[in-house]
Amino acid sequence: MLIQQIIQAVGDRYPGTLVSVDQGGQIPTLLLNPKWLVRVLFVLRDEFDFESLMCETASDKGERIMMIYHLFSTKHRQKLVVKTELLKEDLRMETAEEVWRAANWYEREIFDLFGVEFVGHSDLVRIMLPPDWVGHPLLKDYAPAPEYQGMKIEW
Amino acid sequence: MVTTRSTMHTQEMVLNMGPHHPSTHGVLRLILRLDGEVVEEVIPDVGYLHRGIEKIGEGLTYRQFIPYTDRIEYLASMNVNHLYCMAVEKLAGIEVPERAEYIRVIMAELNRIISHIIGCGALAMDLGAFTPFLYGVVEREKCNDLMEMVCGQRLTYNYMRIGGVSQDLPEGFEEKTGKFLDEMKARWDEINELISANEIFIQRLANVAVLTVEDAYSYNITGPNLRACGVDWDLRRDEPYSIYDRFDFQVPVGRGERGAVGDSYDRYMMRVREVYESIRIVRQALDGLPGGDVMAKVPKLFKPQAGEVFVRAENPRGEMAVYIESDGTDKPYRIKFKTPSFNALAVFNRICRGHMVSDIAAVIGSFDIVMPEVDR
Repeated sequence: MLIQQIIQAVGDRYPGTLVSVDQGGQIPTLLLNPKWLVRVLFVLRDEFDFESLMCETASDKGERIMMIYHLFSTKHRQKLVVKTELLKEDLRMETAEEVWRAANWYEREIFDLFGVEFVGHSDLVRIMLPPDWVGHPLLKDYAPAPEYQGMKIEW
Repeated sequence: MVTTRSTMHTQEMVLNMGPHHPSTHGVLRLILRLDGEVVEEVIPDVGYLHRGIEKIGEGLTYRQFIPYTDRIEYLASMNVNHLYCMAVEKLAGIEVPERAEYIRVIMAELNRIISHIIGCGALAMDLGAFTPFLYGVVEREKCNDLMEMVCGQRLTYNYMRIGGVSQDLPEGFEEKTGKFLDEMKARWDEINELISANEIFIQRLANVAVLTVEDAYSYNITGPNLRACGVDWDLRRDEPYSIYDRFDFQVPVGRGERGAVGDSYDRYMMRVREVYESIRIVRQALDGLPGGDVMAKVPKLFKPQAGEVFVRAENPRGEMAVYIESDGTDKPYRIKFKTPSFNALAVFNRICRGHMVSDIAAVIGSFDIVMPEVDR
């Protein structure tokens, strides 16, 4: 019921944004176009009471990076997954920091480990790895640099 | 003559707290921008313990990864074991035998008790009260003995398996656990009496670093830290997983007993009360422990079907969640752990402003931050 209302609201206000809906899995999943994604997240937070962002992460899908947002609404006892795909040539995405503050650190981690650049982020620096690290380890084609600061590891 | 802040000349100073500091509970570095002794800004610098557990997970089979989940949070290994196994079982559609579910709940709650002993004890120790920590560790030793009896390990248990637990409870476990719970309750009353009503302790915690409900939701603060803000929400009761719906227990909620709702004292009290509730749950589980197998039949070559799963569980420090993507092979395609201390540390800059440097130690302790969990 709630999911139908969300689909309706998103379709009316941002036509063409909703690519597909999957209700067969464990949690209802919306696949959106990255362009209006953050606007939709604002709508979900303000009008559908999704007050917390449980998890924000990414996954390497070969030519694309899949961004995955797990939302939760205590009022409706409803989980929702929002996904969007980014092309690896243009790994840029609007930040969700203004929607949920938790996104600040989640996005720093995604930037660090996947290399997605979040436009408008207040403090986009590496969080897990040192600032001079080369590469983004969670990409499937990542190969560690042979040397870091004079340290070598023989594999 | 009394000098007030407005007439004093102060200079801004940047101070490094950590990564090797006794009260940062591991390798946490906080960059403090100070005006005199008042904190203007806190910038947590994390990542010193980053082991790339998510990347390691992509290269191991589902079973091989279980010992790594212990190391995500070493103070509550059983709970992380439990979470990971539940997620994989959900992905593959495996039914766990009833006896194994009971054993899992007993282990998870015992682990919650000893985790809170360290949490509350370390907080008291950071504030200068050494005795409660040592009293607590005495009980923790007894519980570690119980764990050792069950699985041979004292810290990183690696006890649960996909489909159940590695071995049945040894003979005499139930009596020994019953005895431990009695002693633990008496000891916890004693520790509670020692510090909870101690004026110095209260002064150091009450009204310090008050977290509002809005901030808690926005930063996704969970578990005891969220309940301290007055939110009545516990996954074990409100979204029951495993067999938690069979037990009768209360969910403590912050009331602002000694100051504002959501201050450090409330966060401390949540943990104190949760220990009593965990003792009740373990007692009920021991009473209702059924017979039967402790392992479901899981094929040796374990390949769950392609798909994804997101499971969260109430761990001692808050809701921990795991997201697994399977592509139908014997290794996960992507595995992600969302850990509660990570979010708790992100909120520091917002709530520590305007407090004294010495309060920072109390705030770290009250949130019960565990660094391996933040850095993964």
